[in-house]
Amino acid sequence: MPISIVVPQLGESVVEGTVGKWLKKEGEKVAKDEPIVEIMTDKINVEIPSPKAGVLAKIIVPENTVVPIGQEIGILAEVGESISNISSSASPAPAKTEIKPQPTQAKPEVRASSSVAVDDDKTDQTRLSPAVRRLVKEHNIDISKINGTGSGGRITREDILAYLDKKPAPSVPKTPVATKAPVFEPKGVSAPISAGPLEEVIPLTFVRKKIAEHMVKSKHTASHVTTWDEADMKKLVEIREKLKEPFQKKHNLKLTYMPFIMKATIFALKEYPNMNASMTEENMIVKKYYHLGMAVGRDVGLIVVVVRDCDKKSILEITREINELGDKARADKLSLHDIQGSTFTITNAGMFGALASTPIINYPEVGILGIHMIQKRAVVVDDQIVIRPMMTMCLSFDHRLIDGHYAVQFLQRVKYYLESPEEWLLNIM
Amino acid sequence: MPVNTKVAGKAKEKLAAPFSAEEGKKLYYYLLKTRTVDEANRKFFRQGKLLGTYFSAVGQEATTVVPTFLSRPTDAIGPSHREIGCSITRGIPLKFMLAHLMAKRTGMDKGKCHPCHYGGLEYRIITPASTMAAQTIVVTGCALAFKIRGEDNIGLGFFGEGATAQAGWHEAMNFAGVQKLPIVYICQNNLWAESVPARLQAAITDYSDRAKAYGFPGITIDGNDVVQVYVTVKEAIARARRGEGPTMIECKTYRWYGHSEIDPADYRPKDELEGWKKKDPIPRFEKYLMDQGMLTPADKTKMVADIEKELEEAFEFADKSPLPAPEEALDDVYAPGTFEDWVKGWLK
Amino acid sequence: MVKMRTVTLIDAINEAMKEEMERDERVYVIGEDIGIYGGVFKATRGLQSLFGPMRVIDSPLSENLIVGSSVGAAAMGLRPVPEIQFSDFITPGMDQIIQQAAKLRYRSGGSFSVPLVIRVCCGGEVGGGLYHSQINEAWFVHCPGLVVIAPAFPYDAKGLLKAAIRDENPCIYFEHKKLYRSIKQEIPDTDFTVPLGKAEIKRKGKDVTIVAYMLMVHKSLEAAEKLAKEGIECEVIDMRTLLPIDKTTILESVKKTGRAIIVQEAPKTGGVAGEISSIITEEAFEYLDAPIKRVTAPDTPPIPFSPPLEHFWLPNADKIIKAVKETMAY
Repeated sequence: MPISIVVPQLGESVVEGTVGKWLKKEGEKVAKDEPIVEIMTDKINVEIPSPKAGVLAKIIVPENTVVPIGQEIGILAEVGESISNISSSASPAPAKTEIKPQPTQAKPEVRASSSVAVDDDKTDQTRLSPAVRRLVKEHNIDISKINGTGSGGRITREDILAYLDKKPAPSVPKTPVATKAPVFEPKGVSAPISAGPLEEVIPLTFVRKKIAEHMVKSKHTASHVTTWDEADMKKLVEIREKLKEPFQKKHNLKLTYMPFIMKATIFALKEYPNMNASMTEENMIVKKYYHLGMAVGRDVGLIVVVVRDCDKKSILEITREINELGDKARADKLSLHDIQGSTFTITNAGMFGALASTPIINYPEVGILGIHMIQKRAVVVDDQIVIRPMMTMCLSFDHRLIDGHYAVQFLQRVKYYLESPEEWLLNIM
Repeated sequence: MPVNTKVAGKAKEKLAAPFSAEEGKKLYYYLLKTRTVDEANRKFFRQGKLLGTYFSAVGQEATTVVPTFLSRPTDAIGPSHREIGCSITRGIPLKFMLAHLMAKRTGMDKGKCHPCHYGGLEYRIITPASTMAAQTIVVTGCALAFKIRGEDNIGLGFFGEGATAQAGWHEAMNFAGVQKLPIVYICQNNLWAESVPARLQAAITDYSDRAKAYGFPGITIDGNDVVQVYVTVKEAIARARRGEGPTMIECKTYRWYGHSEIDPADYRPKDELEGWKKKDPIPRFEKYLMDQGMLTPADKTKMVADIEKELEEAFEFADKSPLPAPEEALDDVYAPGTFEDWVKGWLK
Repeated sequence: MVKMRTVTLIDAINEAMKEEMERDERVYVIGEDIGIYGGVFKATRGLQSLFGPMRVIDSPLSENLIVGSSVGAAAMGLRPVPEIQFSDFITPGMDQIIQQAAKLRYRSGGSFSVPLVIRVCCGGEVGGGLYHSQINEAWFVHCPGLVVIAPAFPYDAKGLLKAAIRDENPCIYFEHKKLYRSIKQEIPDTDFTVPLGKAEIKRKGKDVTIVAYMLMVHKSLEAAEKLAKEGIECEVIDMRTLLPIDKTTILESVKKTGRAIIVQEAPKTGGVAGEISSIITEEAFEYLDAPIKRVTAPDTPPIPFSPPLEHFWLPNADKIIKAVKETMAY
């Protein structure tokens, strides 16, 4: 009996994914639980294991196609079984997520759990509401140019407004499906883009679109304020200089400042618990666990990996984990577990040489600590000008929940712990 | 004043009048004026000059003129539709009253209300609604206001015997009794509530008996004996002003004509009317005053001439007055300066 | 720095009466059980000991008289605030409300003013059955000359009652008994009023306009909160005054969203929702992208007693959500 391969539910608020790579070819044998296809959601790839042993009889949805959760993407048959009498359910049009001339092909993504078989080219130009008629008249629109996204293909007011704004068709769901707050509209395609002779059109990757979406959502939700301070890293520099070679030798790992900074941050978070929180409309949720997010750069785009229960781990353990996660990130092998659940994030712009920055909060946290290049600078200590290795720290915080004085004081404590490592190092080495 | 004493109808001509000659003459003037105007209005109605309908009070003048005469201008009056005597005695200019009957813009109500609903704040006469006993409750509220304010003004409530069957009437009487309000209730029992005889209106004959149920005195008198009405109402008003509470005075009387001018009142026995016409209050009072030497035929002639003249001028004024403009229907729904856009939005 | 206090709806009403009676000696209250007892819901608690039995009057069981005597007193220059204990008992007083209070100014050609405020306790979802749940607002919205007020929040309740007492028109002021103690809000310690005849947007949104009053405002806000999580942004308008209707606020909103839903806690036929729906169709037809929906109770007497019957009868957040989604799916 042939069975469908469907896109499973991948996270509560996820409504769709992209078929990444088919790991088996059509006709190829598959063992039970063997990965058969890769689905990309948000920022990670998830491999779908085969529900049973058999043959990948048919690939219904090709690679690089966006599909809603629950959509059938392939058929698994028993060895020797014929599937000629199987008809698949409504197949989405084979649209790539890159920009394409025909706007109609974006429609299936909107009807996530609709049972209505949508004929993409059928727009109902007869049921024009009063609002639509008025706009058509006011703007002298040729409605044959408009794609109707309303029920039964009805041209809605939003369709006309979108046409007027030359934006992609709106992603407001017409069926009761959970969607994210509409801050960015990555779905759907727009009218063809014409490039000038000195312009190159590069389609946005899936990941880049997701990053863009995430950034905008954060910026539009939180009230970003950035405050900064600088820490005298003299003591930490000395410690690291002393320990980096034995550490490398013993553990085959590079000892960086990041674990120390993470530790200092956690001590400060324990004193200023609201910085380790998230916000809903009615409540503040203060986390009593410390999962620190760390931003990792990749060629494909930025990602935040999570070191869980950082407060309970040693410098060694943190270093190990950071390294592992970094490798996984660059090899594109991160799991959901690796990237979800952070309570506070640290981002290091200094590794590329930045002195200061205004980082964007990793939604839905309330603070992000930007650390930067440690640079020898002339500073005043006991009324003397001395040379010290200074590191600028820029803390962006959500002013809806955190007031200025709270954030400033928190940052001062981070500074304190960075400048006085002897206070806490012995507890954890 | 003894409680619930039924005093028989004859005026006490031989005793000294309870009022001065000046007062007596004035009282007669108002009675005569009310009668004259009322009859004239009936004529105008049949000539097609008045609009809608007309409620004549001919025969009942004493029951409205006398109490109003005895009241102060600051006392509140709650009439129904047959109290033309109250309006004339209070001094609403005849010209405005006639304009009201002709539905002209110059009437007190600017053409808004049903005929014979005379009234106005400056006269302290509550412009009536047609629901019976409604103004009895309202004027009871006026008396409440006077009591709350500690003023010695009183309320005068007028109603027929039919109105006493309304629930609201009982609520008003009851409340007045509980709160000992400064009010005099005058019931004009003219034996007929439109076409319904009094015996179908109540199981009792003397409606003043009802006052006892509400804890204050009730008295039945001859409503066509001007002097008796005068004496009784005067005492009741004084009682009220002294803070001793309400009194109900049932005036036995009769209306000569139909409920309205389009009602021939065939339901009444013919000899009943003839009997009551013989008890016409105005000639009786005229005789009384002349016997007391308070009124001379010359006085009367002058009064008649003055009244006729005023009536003629009033008619002229009303006749020549304009009807209201159509959009004036939208005026006075709400207080000036409030929500006018809401009502006038109709014109858009 | 203005001091803020948290009050319930009934506190706000009590305070408004107290403050207005202190401010203006012409103001007095009358009703059943309002004096010594302080009112069956305690709305007039404490007033008689402050102002005495001639300004806080325990009346006999006579709704007609409660309203009618207030008409007369108002005509003589006082400012009565009569109370009707339950809207279910307002019918004995109808003659005085409709024929006297509403019409005296008009029929006297503007001569008389009737500046009274009839306070009426109303509303369901309290298991009150057929005679402790009614609102009957439609009867009064259909009566020109009255001002019909229906607050949903304590701030509005206090400000509107004060405004009504100071207004020269006869006002009928509905107080929803379910909201009396279940809604709290911070209000300033100042002498503030809220304008009569003005609705207020209690939640901004771009996808659909929901028009409601009293308890239904809270149901609409509850629905809007849930819908927001699904990406549907509702604009919730609290009417505050039912007559005159603030057409401007409602029309502006519908012109923005293109969709309208009206919620009323009353039987469907002949209600306020039908009136508003007509206004929108007449004056914003060309802005509508979907038919107007009404979320109402069924056409049965309000409200049957047994819990499953009452629940079936009353509009609630789920019914509003369903209506919004159907409208969005058009």
